[in-house]
Amino acid sequence: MIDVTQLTKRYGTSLALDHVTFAIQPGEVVGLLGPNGAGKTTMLKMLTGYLPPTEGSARVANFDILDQSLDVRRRIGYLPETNPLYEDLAVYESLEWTARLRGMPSAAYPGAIRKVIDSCGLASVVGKDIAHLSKGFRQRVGLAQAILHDPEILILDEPTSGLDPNQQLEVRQLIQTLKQKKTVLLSTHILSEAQTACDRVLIIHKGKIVADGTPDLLRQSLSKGQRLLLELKAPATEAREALENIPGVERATIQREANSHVVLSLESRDEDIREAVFQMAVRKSWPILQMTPETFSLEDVFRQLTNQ
Amino acid sequence: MKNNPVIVLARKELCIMLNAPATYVVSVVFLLVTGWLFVSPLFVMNQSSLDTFLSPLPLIFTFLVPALTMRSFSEEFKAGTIEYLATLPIENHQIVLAKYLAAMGLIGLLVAFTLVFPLVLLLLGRPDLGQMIGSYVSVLGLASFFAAIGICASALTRNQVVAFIIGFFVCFIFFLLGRVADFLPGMLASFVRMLSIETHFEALARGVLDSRDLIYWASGTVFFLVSTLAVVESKKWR
Repeated sequence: MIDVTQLTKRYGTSLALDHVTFAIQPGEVVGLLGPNGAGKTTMLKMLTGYLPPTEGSARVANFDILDQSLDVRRRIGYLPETNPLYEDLAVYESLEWTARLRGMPSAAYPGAIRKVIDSCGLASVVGKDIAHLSKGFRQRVGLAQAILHDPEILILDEPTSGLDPNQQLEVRQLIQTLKQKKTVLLSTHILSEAQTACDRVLIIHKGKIVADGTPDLLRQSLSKGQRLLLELKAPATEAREALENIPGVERATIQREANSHVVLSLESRDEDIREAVFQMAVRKSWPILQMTPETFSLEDVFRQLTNQ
Repeated sequence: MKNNPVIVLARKELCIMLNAPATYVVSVVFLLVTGWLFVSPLFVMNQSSLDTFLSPLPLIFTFLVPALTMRSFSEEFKAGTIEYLATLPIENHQIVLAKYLAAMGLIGLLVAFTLVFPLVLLLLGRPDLGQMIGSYVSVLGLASFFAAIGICASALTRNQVVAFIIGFFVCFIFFLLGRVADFLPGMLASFVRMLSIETHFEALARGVLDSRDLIYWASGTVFFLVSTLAVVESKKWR
């Protein structure tokens, strides 16, 4: 549905996107994650035909973004990061103009407008000028404009930014309802959003894709094994050294020590080290007070990949 | 035709312009000034002519038209709505054309209000109908040329005031050319006079429908609209 090949964008001398390649299948909901300035918005602007690439190419719905831009734009719904709206227009007028500018037949658009007013919860503000709407409602109007023509592909640049937690949940639920029928590419800062709303996550950093996979797969593959929190009744340094000698243990870090107790964090490769730790503690007669496996969150993965 | 994106967008632009209070301020000032220009000789000298209203019109239009077109593109750039427009299935040249048609629609509406003046003349005497039609063709030609300049100026900046100043400045140069020509030597003078709006405006206003005048308005309009398109396209590639 979306095929990106070696896509590059330079602004003067700075490289915003560096030979990015990926593909998105029909029906996938893909989250584009990355810190500010990573190149997420630039990527989405190029896919929607707003910005031309410096190098590389991309096909959206089987149309080239540069040579068949009009065909691409007919098939996408786009919510830009800044959500620009015509403040002088009322909500209904704004939706009506969008429908007409998209060439929707006059018999079809009143029904489509009613549908998006309903699904985006705009009924209470339909006659109000956009200038008088709250940030949450403005975001909903932007989203309504993007889905009005029932596009095959939705490109949403930070769709929940500036919304309160309830509104964020509503937008996420709306995306979930759309996901059965549409391909969605959304950029976000909010990791929990990517985790709950997306089938797949692309982490972008300094213009490059640094990770690509399902949120679970990313957690597993990039966490490089397991992490174990261990509390022992033992001398701290001696315990750390003994633990580091266990095969499979990558690193043992003392987190806290008090009286004769020590709390350590153990990082291991793929194998389960719990049994070996237990055996060692028995040999040394160090009572285990706590042993908790810790899972890596998507946030850990994100920090690990983008904090370089 | 009903769903032609140019027509739909032009109607939306006109609707937005008619929603803006500034449009009404500018329009009321224009109608008061032109009304006064037409009516004062009628009462003071007991004489009625379209000339009193037409002669200062090029100068009035150097202010009026850039004031009406200044927000055309600059507001889109400032508010970021250009991103919304540019990602709709509409070509850039259609956007430029729609903005021009909307501006012409508004100016046409204002000019339509001044049709009261020739109507008064028709009631009072037997004026030359051909000259009247020529005058109005001339007014629309001038409006079209200045609207294209105003829209081009508006595409250059995201600041409406700067857009107005650039638009006014360019229109004023075309207004001044005719006067500057008097101080220039032979060939150069006739060339500069050919570029001046006054030469073409006065010829048409006398009722002489010369194709050269019509080509002047049309080519000036096309030149500045194409320049606008180039400016809009170039912003994308920067």
